[in-house]
Amino acid sequence: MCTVCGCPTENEKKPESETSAGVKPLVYDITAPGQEKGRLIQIERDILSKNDKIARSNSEAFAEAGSVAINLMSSPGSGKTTLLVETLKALRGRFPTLVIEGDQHTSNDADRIRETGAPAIQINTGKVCHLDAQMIADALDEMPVETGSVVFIENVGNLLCPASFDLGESARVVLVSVTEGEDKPLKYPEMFATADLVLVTKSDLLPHLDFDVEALSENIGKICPGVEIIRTSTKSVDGLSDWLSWISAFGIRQSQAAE
Amino acid sequence: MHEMAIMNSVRDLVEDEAREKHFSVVKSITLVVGPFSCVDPHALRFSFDAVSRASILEGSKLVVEQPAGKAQCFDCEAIVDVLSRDQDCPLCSSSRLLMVEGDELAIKNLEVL
Repeated sequence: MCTVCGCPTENEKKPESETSAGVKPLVYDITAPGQEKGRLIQIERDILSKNDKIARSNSEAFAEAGSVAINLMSSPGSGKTTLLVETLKALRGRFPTLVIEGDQHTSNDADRIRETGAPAIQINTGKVCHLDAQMIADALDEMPVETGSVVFIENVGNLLCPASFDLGESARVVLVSVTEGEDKPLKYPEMFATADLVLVTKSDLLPHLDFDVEALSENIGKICPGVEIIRTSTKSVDGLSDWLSWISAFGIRQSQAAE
Repeated sequence: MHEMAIMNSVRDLVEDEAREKHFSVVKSITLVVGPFSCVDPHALRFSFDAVSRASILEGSKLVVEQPAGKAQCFDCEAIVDVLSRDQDCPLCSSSRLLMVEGDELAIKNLEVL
């Protein structure tokens, strides 16, 4: 098995006919035949119920502070940290901010964030490939949320696993850069399916590339019909204006909903 | 390796149930894994083998049920069975399908002694 994300290698994979949905259940029987039959207990419990419970309490903590929490997710190298640095500079003096940084190793990203003057907490996930609700709860214990602030959670760069874990965030924002493929949403649909906003980053590079933004938008629409898509570039002030307006409008909608 | 984290949650939930419902042996455990749950059944099995050792799940049989998902078509409004997110509507061929079911990730039942 792949040691990075646990995906099965080619020879571990079963033939497609055995794995596709709607077919007979996969049974891994490691018990000896003829053993005593036990009683059956119906459980119907969501496996992530513990995570979801902590996520709800995180969400309440954000709401009580009148703040919004934005979970930024993308593959590694899509420009999450660079976008955050420029966003924080632009928001300085307008809203209090807090950044929760998730990376497997190093505090490089939190260091870059702190240089902007914004407070940042670095979570090192070690061998884990995603942030979960407990990690966010621990971070909030360390540094409580200031009233009316915008909290940015920079998830581990990974288009697979972070999608499964509710952190109690107010919005999920997925980044895809124009140096990636237009078919990223089709290759990694779970990530795009739950997005509240998709940011197409590094758009200043478009003149140098054969990237088809329309095709990307179409693919995003297939996975998450109706989701808003905004192009960004950190190389100019203009490149961020739609994203900054989205944050303000989202914050206003959230506070109106709370009243 | 998020299947490992998920299997740890399964073990914790089963241990809670064991305390509540007074059992000490789990003969089999049935999980329901929807097609949009982001979980790979084979990676789950690998994690199960690792996580179950020296726990209440050691020696138990893992059954993974994989039901089909359901989606509503934005255009013909029908609710249809789907297996993947990039599928078109089987009735009107529209690509605008909104998934409404299929992200299940649950423990369905336990056979215990």
